[in-house]
Amino acid sequence: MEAKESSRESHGEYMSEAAKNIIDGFNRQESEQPPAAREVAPLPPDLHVLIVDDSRVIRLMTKRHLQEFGIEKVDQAANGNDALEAMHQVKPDVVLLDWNMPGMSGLEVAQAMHLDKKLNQVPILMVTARNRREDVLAAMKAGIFSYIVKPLNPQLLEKKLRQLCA
Amino acid sequence: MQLAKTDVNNIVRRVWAEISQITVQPVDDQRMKQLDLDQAYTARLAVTGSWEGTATLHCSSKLTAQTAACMLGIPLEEVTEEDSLDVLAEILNIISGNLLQVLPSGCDILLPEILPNFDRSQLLAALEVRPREAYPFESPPDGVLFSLVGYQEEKTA
Repeated sequence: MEAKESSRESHGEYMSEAAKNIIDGFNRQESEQPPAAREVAPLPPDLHVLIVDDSRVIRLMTKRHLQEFGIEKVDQAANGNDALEAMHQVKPDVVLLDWNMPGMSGLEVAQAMHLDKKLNQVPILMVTARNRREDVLAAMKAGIFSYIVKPLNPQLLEKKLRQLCA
Repeated sequence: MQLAKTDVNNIVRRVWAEISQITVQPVDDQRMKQLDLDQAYTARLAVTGSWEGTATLHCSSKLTAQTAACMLGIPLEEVTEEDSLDVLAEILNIISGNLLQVLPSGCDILLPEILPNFDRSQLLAALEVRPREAYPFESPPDGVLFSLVGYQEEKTA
């Protein structure tokens, strides 16, 4: 295989605007604005967030970020089955969903939620390392609210949550 | 697999910095031979599809623990080995996920696994023959080695 030049510039050439907008990992500069300069809605302190990620450290780190935003009601699940079970017990206001997990993938969880009358209105923020347009489009088809590319930028997460609550 | 060094170096450096605020700097092949990876953890994941191979990440146990401490916001002495291994696997997952955009289309990544007793000497010898597949870094004095080796390339080495 020939050596490649940087391909970042060509990314998204034939993506829809919606798909382009949804990949915030490529638009990190927007998260660099101070919170006051952004369109903001206050984050309700009782916002209930479910973090679904097979990495315990990522769950803990994300929970810490959420607490810094003033969100205290945070639940965690380490896989898709546990997440669906937890959501049927107590429906969260938003789900932060990893993609690459053992068992059900995050995409399969999103698809299952989409087909579930009880869960299909729960907004999903897909938080994943996968940054290709086909992944974003597949996630959009599964009905996600937004897509954030790891490594997780806490300012971007806060912004997305504020948009969700606006 | 020969990717542009700058692409891979930028992704590894950016992932490490954003996840932990720790800087890892690319080093040359000569320096790679001197990296101390005796006390290191190893994680590996398979790349499948139009190009098949493995992405492997070796990182000194000290730097892995420091990274975990930063991510968790806890003192270094409170980091457990479980934390460190979880962090290493996740960093490899994030690096590889970000690399998907520069890998041939149709590739996918599987879940990372930790290799507890991995013999690095064989891989290091292979990378010495094919240095373009090795991406060495350091956060002095600790070393990091990322590699991307195809199954086909492995067989023909």
